[in-house]
Amino acid sequence: MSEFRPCVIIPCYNHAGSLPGVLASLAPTGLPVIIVDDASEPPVPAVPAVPAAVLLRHDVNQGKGGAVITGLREAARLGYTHALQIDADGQHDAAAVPALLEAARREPDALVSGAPLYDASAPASRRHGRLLTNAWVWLETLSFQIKDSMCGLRVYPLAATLALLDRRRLGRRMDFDVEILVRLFWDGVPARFVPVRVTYPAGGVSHFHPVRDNLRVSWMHTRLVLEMLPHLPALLRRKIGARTGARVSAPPAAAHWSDLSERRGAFGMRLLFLIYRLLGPRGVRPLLYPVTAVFWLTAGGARRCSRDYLRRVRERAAATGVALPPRLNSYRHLLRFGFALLTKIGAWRGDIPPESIRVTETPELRRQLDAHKGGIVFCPHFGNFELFRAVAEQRGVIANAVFHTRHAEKFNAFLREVAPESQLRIVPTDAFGPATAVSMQERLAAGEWVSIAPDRTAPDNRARTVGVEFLGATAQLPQGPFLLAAALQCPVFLLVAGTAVDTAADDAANAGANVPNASAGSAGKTPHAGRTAYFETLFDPLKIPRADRSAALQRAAQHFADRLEHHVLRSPLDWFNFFDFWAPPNTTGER
Amino acid sequence: MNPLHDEIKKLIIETLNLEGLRPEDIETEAPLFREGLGLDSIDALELGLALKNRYGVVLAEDSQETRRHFASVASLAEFVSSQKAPAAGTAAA
Repeated sequence: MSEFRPCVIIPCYNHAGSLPGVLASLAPTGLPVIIVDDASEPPVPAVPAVPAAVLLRHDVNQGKGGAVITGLREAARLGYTHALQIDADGQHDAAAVPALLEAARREPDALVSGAPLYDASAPASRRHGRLLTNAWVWLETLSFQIKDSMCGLRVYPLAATLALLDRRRLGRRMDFDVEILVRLFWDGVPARFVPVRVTYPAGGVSHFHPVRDNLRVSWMHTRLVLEMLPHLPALLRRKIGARTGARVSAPPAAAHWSDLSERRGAFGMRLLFLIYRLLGPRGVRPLLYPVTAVFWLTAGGARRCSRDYLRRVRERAAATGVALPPRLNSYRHLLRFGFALLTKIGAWRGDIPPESIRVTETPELRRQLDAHKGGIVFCPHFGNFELFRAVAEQRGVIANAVFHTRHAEKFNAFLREVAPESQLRIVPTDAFGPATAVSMQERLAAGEWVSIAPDRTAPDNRARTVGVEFLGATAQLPQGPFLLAAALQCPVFLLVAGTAVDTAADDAANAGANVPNASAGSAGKTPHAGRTAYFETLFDPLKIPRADRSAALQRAAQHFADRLEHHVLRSPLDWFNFFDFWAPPNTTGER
Repeated sequence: MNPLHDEIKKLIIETLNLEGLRPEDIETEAPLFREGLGLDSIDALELGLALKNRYGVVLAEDSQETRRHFASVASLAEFVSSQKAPAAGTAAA
């Protein structure tokens, strides 16, 4: 492998107009060129301008893949070690060729592909189509390593490629580029990517047939996914191998919720939203099962956290004599999260009519509403607190949500994109300090509701936590929400919304103070699953007297944790904290 | 003697129910939080609300800045007067 002898392959079908330009742009590289004329009419003439050029011709059109295969075999026969494939229509930027070759020289066993950076000439449909194809490929390879599978500008390592071509017959048309990439990946060939510019020349000739080629591509993906299953153990070993290799410098999985990669999450949400818009909520549902399966297999951190959590739930339920719902496992836990994301999107877009939610309230909440006074609503990451906005709308109240600044901006941008009509107002906060208290006070004075998540500690102020017993072990809750509630002297409610099991049903019976108050219109009818919103009064108000500060704070936090545990044990899969919730407090943090 | 210092000391005692404490017991330059007067984070929130309601001051989200303003009675007085001054362009700096 010490020798690196690259050549260029250009598959050509009726590209006589653009071919000379492509050849001219390649001339500075000085690479030998193999042109495969896939039965063009008229035939591609010999190219005297490029002395080293080899011109091969098919008598019968075989498709782009067929032409590339002919070129690959010829390149191997001539003794080259690597072949750079480039399209004849001029869409690839030849300026990227040296970078691709350099990457191949550094890692001769890898396949090096261009990853397109689109300019304004790329149609949106093309970009969306590529996103869907990439999603298929991620499923087929169980990896995000393949950043782009359709770019026809790439360098093949010939030994591994010829071994694959000799072993099996690949799709010869538009399915070729994707299939060979996935199959080489299965053979253990790493995929590397170099950003390239791609333009769509105004007069460019594309041979993509919308119906025939889409069917062909769909069939290929179906085959690849089915064939992926026997590769599963090897693919997983590879993932685990890659992970243990990287463990030296990598932080432990999901150490703090805000450390979790947001990029992938945001990408996943965008993809889900795109599909939601294309297919509607019903259309997305069947897709969630395989997507969750992939996530379950690949997101080891989330899976481990789910298992650990479910173990604690079982032990706690056994200790307290609570009957758990059946079939609690980490796959169904992640699946429930997927369905909750759909509800989130629906809630943000206003697709969930406020009157379809059955709200159970308390006398204290009623009192506040009647007096046009606001309240603090604790919304833990349990169930779907996105229903909060719809519930507030149903009650004619403005809803605010306190968010950490770092997340507020991203969330706001996302919300504007998916739900420009959303009425939810975000209160950004840095540190739950006096400024947050002031802005909350203004909103409460105007009779608005302010929601706050008391189950996530602040990203940059982690030391200010309070330890509570939750599901049989000590967990840290942020002090901020409790301190704010105490300073503001207003009632605090717990909202449990959108859980699959209606955790309010048995509560209304055993907690005498709570008066169920089904909203007009849905009275007597069973509400949709996940369309219940249950308030309970946690503190009226929360008092943390000076003489007894830390003990009173701990009691308040423990009361919240006890009520949360009560609901969590009744619908365990609605718990959406996929990080180590019982991590010890970070003592190195700022005090 | 700055009358604003005295006013703020009274505000602190009233707001935080510091029973048995008189304005002259609070040192103008001494730290308010932890050592010194020994106030805590709930006190900071309550004091922030009281300052807003009494003087209409605007608090920045920046916790470092707030911490500086809340260091002592003297720094609070400076903060309040910088916001009260009509042409506070240079005074705020």
